[in-house]
Amino acid sequence: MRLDMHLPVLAVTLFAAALLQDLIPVTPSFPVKFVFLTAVALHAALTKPLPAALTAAVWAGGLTDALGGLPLLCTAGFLLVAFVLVRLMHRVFLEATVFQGMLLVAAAAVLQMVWTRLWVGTGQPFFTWHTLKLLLYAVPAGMTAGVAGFAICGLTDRVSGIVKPVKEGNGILWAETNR
Amino acid sequence: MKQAKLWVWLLVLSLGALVFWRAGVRDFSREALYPYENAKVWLERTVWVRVRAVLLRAHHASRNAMLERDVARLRIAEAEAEALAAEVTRLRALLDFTPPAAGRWQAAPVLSRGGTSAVWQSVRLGKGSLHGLREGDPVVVPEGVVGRVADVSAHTCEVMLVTDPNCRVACELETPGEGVGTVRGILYGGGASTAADPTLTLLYVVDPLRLRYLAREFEPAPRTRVLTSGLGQIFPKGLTVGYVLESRLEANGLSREASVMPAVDMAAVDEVFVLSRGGGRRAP
Repeated sequence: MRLDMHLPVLAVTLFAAALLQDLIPVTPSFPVKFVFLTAVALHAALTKPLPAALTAAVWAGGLTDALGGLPLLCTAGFLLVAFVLVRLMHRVFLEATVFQGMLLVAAAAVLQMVWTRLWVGTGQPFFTWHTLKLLLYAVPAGMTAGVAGFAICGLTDRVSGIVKPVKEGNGILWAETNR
Repeated sequence: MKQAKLWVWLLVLSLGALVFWRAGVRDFSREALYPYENAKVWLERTVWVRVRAVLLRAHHASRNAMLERDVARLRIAEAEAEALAAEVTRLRALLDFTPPAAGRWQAAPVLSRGGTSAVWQSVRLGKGSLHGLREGDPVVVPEGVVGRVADVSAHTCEVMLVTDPNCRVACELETPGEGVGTVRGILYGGGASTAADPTLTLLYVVDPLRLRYLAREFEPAPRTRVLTSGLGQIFPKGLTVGYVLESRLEANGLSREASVMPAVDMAAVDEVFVLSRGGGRRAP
């Protein structure tokens, strides 16, 4: 049986994303986390086969919750819902480019923060200036994670041979995902 | 087809683990990252310290002299404290007082802050149940109280900081004054500003802690030190928590609430001391 490269690639990228997301600390000047795990899950939703992408969403959500002290279906639930929406948008306009990934993950970071705070209920009122401030910070955090996540995931897909460039008749190289 | 079946099985097993084996998933995730986070701490302590020493060579001579003076002063203070501790133990035995619960201080490095979500105000330490740490163990630094251990795995533990809105600490004010007696209250973590406060600041400001249920008749002076009272059996008595900024009557008018600035800069903490019930240096 041919080895499915999606499994080791997903395992390594999710592990690296979890390590980075955990190690990069929040600071008084930037009090939100970079959502690298969400970026990897959304890239998988756009490029991987259905069962692999769903598994990536569950793993990314599980890691975020386990390492962040959240209830263990909180982020996994959000990423599964996000997976459905991303697949629907992929049919119409969304592609797995770095620029679109940056915008997608920025939006996802804001929605994930809203979802998490409503699910968990931090003991504080939700509609406050403090929450609005955190949502504003989530946008650049999501953009940074989106750029890094989509770029690195695309690179690992090419290096591992999942994505192969195909030479067209006119000499222009196009990447074609092996779905 | 076989690969699709493998993925479906992986998906089902993953969901099953998240639903039925939550504690195992948490511990497994933390333990998986622990070697790499520990390696980062090791690199900071060995490689980065040497690089910084080369870059900051000019400051080391004066800093070394200052540190040597501090060490000498602390050695004298430690010797005095040991003598006092022996006297206290002797007097307790004479008066038949119940001794405090035994405990030992253990140093632990900070591996990460906020985990992967930054929803809770917490840090992860590089010591766990294998080092004798348990849930509820207090965590301090020389400047004051940091928090308490909330969750433990084999090599790591999660510490809930005193700045977390869900953290509660039994406190008292230091020497409130003649004829006042002991003024005690419950310290709540700061958290977010309420909706009633229209101020919007983009610059991050540490929200003050709130010391609630103080006696309404006594108005503490600003900069009064807030100490742990020892009630609640979690934090030993006499540890510094913070300093009073201001106080006001609570909405119900029955008690007073004070804003307290934490004594410890949580963002700058790299190493802490945990009071555990086994292992490490004995607590006073």
